[in-house]
Parts: sequence; structure tokens; C-alpha cells
Amino acid sequence: MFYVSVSKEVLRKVEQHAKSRPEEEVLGFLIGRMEDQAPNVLIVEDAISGETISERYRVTMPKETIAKIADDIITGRIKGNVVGWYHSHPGLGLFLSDYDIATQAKLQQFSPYIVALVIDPKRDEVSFFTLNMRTKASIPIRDDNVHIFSPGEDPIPSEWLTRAPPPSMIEGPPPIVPPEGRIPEKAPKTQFYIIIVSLIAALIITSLFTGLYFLRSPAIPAISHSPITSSMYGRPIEVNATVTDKDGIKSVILYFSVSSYISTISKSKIMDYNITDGFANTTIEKEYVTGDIAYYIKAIDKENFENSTEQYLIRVSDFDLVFDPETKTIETQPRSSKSISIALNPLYGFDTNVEISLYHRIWPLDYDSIVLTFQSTGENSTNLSSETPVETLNIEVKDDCEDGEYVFIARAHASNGLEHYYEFLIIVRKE
Amino acid sequence: MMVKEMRLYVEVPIGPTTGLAEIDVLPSHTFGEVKQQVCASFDVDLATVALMYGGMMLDDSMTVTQGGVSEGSRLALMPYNIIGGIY
Repeated sequence: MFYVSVSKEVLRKVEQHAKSRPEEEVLGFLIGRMEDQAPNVLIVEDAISGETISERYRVTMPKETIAKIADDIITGRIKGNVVGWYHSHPGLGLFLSDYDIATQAKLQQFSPYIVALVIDPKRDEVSFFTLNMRTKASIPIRDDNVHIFSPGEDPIPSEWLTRAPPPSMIEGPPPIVPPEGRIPEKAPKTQFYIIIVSLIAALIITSLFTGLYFLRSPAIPAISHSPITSSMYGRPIEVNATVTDKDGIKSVILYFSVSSYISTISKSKIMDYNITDGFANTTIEKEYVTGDIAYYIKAIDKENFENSTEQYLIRVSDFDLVFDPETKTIETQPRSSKSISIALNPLYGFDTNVEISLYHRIWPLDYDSIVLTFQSTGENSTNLSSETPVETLNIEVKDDCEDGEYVFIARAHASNGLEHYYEFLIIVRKE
Repeated sequence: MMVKEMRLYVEVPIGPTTGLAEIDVLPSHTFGEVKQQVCASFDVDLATVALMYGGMMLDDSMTVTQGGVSEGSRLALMPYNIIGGIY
């Protein structure tokens, strides 16, 4: 996870835009950058918009507006890049809908450092979100990872500089790992193959020399480590290794990214090292355990010879809700009832209770004519656990129900803090 | 007769770092073909993005000549729409 530093002016602009059309959704881009000395802090400096097509529950920025904004960025009329987008949910609360998730994924395929800012102008609430690209689950960015700066103030609080120094500030640069799915910086396709061929050549030569050196003198640190393959959401992860070297060890460093691969901007931690038994350990704080974590360990000896483990992936526990029938769009008539079964699908050792609550206050305002309840409790919320992983949701449509589309939202909240939102659309049509 | 290739630059101003691709094309290439090559090098989904130039979206079926794009032009690759909302 990364930090977000947003200017007060951006929040004011977004609020003003949302409140100028309180009965419709509005949308725009967030403009910003990163600084070299703080490669884990996304700085949001401006909010821009243009012509959009706004409706009560939907807003679209058309290609014409996007093309103009793209031109303004390329020609330098707008300083900075698109680092996110904002839109309003008047009276709906803060979450990312399926549409919002699709949009965020469209932007986040270019860079992991893209945020979605959602504002509810009626409740005066805002929140930043990002996406787990594997599970497509939205992740709210916690308030203590967001800093608001005023004009003239340094956007990066000093404690953020020390909290997670970039790898280059420790012991030389991290090994270059071609990140999958990332924009190759300044790496054009036409020259891409040349770069790859030269990299392979360099790799072969390096490994030849490494091999030769290794035969002559076993001076490279030896790292013994049992890979961690899974962990629980929101729980700290302890990483241990045994590192030995005849010249003595200078430092052992853990590099990790909250992602399924090590990106060029990984976090690093110097591991505690015990000279007597070669035991090295450190902890990945629980704040970072919000998604899969890729990591490797590097050891450097007193002669500056270094060695790294391969990259490992820690699957962080998560869950899915499985709906039967699969569709979340239910067509029905007045004076009828339907039931859908909802099953908890634990992923990577997830073993926490999940409370599902239904929100049916959203749209349209006259919702009393549809009643959603869970079978066993009859209440609008239920608990799923590994003992009772399936629950039936009853939908009862009363005879005075108007034709129309009714949106409901189910909030699935696990006791470890992990949250997902699921939407239902119930279409009522008289025959 | 040899048709001269021309060099185009495609910027992706999304994320804190601008992605840049240099690409050599023939005037008869379509923007769909250009986009395909650029998307492959950036590893992004072809269906979600469009090439833009001079404040206009470039139609995939149009050729480089028809789009009025000349040697050394800087294009942008962006999502072609941005949608928020419940339904």
C-alpha cells in the first residue's frame, strides 16, 4: 500500500463540483505526481473536469473530454499526470460499485499508483480507494495513510520519508525485475527486443562470472529461508532467514511489495541480524497486509558481496461471495417471492466470520414494497462462517410494488476488517 | 518506390510516471494497428483504450495519413471513456 498526500484545494474543488449538482453524479480526473525521495507517496495536486454526461446514478466522461484533457497534459497546459479520478455518490455512501471498479481497473492497468476518490456531498464524506487487481476487490485507503496539505506546505510529511525509505537509500539499488503489467518506462516497442536481448546476454555473462567466482571462493552469503506462502489479512507477517558468510554479514534486507510481483518501487526493511547464530528476522506490519505480498531477501557481506533469494508470493487471505443463481440481476413480478443462496468462498486460508448486511435505502426511495431477509434470522443481516457457509436470501415483492429497477447493496464485513460490497438489481415488471 | 517510415511518439500520462513508446509506422497503417502495437508494449487491454491527438480521438479504422498525423507527432493513449455510477 502507498500513501496519498492530497492538497486541501483539491478536496475543496471536488466538494464544490459535487455540491453544484447535488442530485446527480459528477466526475473528473485527479492530477498529480511522485517525488524521487518519496516513491511511496502519491501527491494529488489538482482536480480537473470537463463536459460530462450526468444522471442521478451514473456519470460518463466522453471521449471528446478525455481527448482534450490528454492534449492539455501532453502540451503541458496541465502540469502533472492523471493519478486518479473522482466522482460523487449523492446520498449513497462511500464505496466502489461494479462500474466504478471497472473504471478503476481500466486506469490501474497502467500503473498501481492510481486512486479513486468518492465523495458523498449529502453526508459530507470522502474516501480514497484502490483496487486489488487480482480479486478486483476495492480497498479503502485508511485515513492515517492520507495526508492533507495546505498551499505552501511540503506535501510529504517528514515521518513518511523515514517510515518506508526507498530501496536505493539502503544498500545499492535493488535488482531489476521486469515488472509484469507495468508501463515500461521510456521503453519503446521497437527497442524493447534489443533491451531484452542485451539483458539476457548480461544475465548469461553475469551468471558465468558468478559461477566462476563461486567455484573459486565461496564468499557469497548463503541464505536459508522457508518461503511464506499464505497469511491472514490485517495480521503482521514475521519473516525469518538464516544467513551465513565467512567474511561476516553487513546487512540483511527484506524487499516487498503489496502486489503479486515486486514492482520497481518496492518497500525495504533492514532485518535484525544475530551474528552468533546467523538468524535474521523482521516483521511486515499489519498495515501492509491488505493484499498479496511479493518479497525476497538480500544479504550483503562485509566484502560487499551480495546474494538474494528468489521472489516469493504470500497469498493473503480473502473471501468471495458466491451467488446461486449466479446473476445478481433478478427479474420478478409484484406479489411474488424469490430466493437466492449466498455462499462464503474462503480464499487462502480465510477463516473469519463475515457479516452481510443489506442496504435497501438506496434507490428508489420507495423500497418498502420489496423486502429482503435472510432465511435463518429473518433479519437484514446474517453471519457466514466456515461452519455455516451458506445462507438463503429471500426476496418478497409486495403487490403494491411499482414497476422499475431497484438497487440494493450488500456489505460483507469480515471480523478482521476486510470489506467487500455486492450489488443487486431487482427488476420488477407486471406481466 | 520505397515508402518512408515515420516515427511517432505515444505518451501514456496515467500514473505518476509518463509511459513513452516510440513507434515507426507507414502512412498507410491504421490507428487500430498502431494501437495494437502500443498496447502490447504497455501490456494494456486493447478494448479499453484509444489513441488521441490534437484534442481528438483517433478512429481505429483511419490511416495515419487520414488522421493528419505527421512525422514526430506526439499521440496519447488513454481510456476512451470513464464511467462512474450504480446503474
